[in-house]
Amino acid sequence: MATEKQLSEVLEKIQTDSNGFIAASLVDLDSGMTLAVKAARSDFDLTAASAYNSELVKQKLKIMKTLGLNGTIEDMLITLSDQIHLVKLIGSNTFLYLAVDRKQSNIAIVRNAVNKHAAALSA
Amino acid sequence: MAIIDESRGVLVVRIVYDGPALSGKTTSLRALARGVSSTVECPGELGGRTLFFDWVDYVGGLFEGRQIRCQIISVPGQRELLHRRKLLLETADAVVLVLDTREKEWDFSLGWAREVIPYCRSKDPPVGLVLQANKRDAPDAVKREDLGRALTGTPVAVVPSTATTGEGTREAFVLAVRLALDRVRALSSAGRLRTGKPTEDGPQDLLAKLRTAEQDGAAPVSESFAQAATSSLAVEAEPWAAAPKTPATEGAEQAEELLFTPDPLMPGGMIWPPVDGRMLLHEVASLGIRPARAGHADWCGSGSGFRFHSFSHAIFADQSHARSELIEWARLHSINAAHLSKGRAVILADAGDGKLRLWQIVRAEATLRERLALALALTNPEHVANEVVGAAVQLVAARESFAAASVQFPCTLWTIGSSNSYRPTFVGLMPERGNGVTPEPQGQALLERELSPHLRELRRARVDYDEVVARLGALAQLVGQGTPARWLSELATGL
Repeated sequence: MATEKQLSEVLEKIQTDSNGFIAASLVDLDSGMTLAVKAARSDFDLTAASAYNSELVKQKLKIMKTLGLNGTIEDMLITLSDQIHLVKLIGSNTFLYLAVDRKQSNIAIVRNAVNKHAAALSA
Repeated sequence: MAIIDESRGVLVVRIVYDGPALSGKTTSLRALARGVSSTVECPGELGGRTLFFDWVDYVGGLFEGRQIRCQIISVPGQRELLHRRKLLLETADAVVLVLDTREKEWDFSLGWAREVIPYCRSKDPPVGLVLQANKRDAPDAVKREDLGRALTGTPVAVVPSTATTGEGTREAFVLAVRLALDRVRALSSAGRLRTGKPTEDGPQDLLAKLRTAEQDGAAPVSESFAQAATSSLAVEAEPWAAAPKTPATEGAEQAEELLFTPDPLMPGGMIWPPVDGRMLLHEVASLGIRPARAGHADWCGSGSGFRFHSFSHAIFADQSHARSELIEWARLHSINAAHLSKGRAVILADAGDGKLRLWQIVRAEATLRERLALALALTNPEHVANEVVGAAVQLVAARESFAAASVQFPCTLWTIGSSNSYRPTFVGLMPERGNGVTPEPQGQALLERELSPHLRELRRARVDYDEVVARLGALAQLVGQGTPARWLSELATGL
């Protein structure tokens, strides 16, 4: 796994490449604990959001298992009225969570910013 | 100590940071606290050194819909405070072992790891361990590939870190949390995951617990742990030997005597029993256990499920005298074989300068103490009472059985095996034969010595202690006077 310093640098790059960046974290899927965090707003509870998103991913994995689907989750995109949230799986144990302001960004920008730097997260 | 705190809707787990003095435990906690926007509380800190523990409280993550409340504590690493370290480690759901990986400290760090790793694995369920290889920024830090190589055969996660910058501290912590959750799942599957208020809800509660334990008999801070642990087998109270010597003194003492290195190819006639003893030597030779001692005290070593011991005076310049002693010890073991656990050997090893030293090697076995620790954590008060009575019966039976031995075996929770055998076994180090040993108490006096501290802790920690006492009373009614159940009930009621 990349070092903590490298993780922080990657999140900074994602912030730079994401218009309307709100927050991003690298999250341990099993525990929901954050491995690296970056937030542009202090009122965004990134710790809680990361933890609950881990439950979201786990539930999705359960659904896939129930349906007998053999594929893997690449990412999960949630479009809110004012924000866009992207959950990008990094390996089988972690995921990247990114939240941006919808007025300043769009789905394509968000995906591009994450995919561009995701490989460095699992180095 | 994992517990579901229903009133707050959280799962509480304890992550314990262990490691030698000045390895970076407190620095790691401070870096972690900064990273998660929490604070470190250090009761009793003196000159920047941890005397009791450091405490960080952090809520994050989710487990089955409940937030995870992590009580993150670091233990004192100084040898004089080992008794506090032990008490804290006993409560761990996961351990982060912080080691100094600089070249000059690496042997000492490895010795520490080789004691802690089997201790964690001996727990039921095992306590997960993360090895935080610290001080990686040092110019003389051992190579990364050498870290894992040194622990070949030992399944443990290694996370490189530089605690002064915080590098690696978060990764180690999150991994430890994951291991703690594994343990929680195992406890839950076995129906042993407790619900209720944590027994220590904050640093002041934990401080009070440590102080109470010291008043009840744990060694005070001024006593040398090495001397307390090795000076008398009659008060043997823990399965660990003394901690390895600090590197500063090791060089000087090495000049006096050759360190014992188990050699399965050593000459015949120096090992008892001849065949099984050599096989045991073969087994321990690969474990890299290096006994140590403080000053001129007994030699001790432990790790990977084995214990080594040599009395300070068991060194002989005359070879025939040494052989006579070996034969006497072999005879002692043979005569008392019915009382002893398996997996023992007596060795005459080269001590340098033409001298020989007599060693005993004992395979570690599960003790009554460990069984009792599990029992006291059961949720059902009736089950707790049943298990405590079982331990009492075993203790008394052991004392009666050992009366027939040719040597006085110390009869403690640490020296009696945990199985409910009709014939209790002595699992401790073989004591010296000889005169002037204080007789072991019997009957109720024995139970009072061994079980009263645990009953007091039970009373303090459990809100349903009265139910436990009631069950003990009910069990006592089923048997006659002068039985362990009766004595135990009287003890519990009288506290």
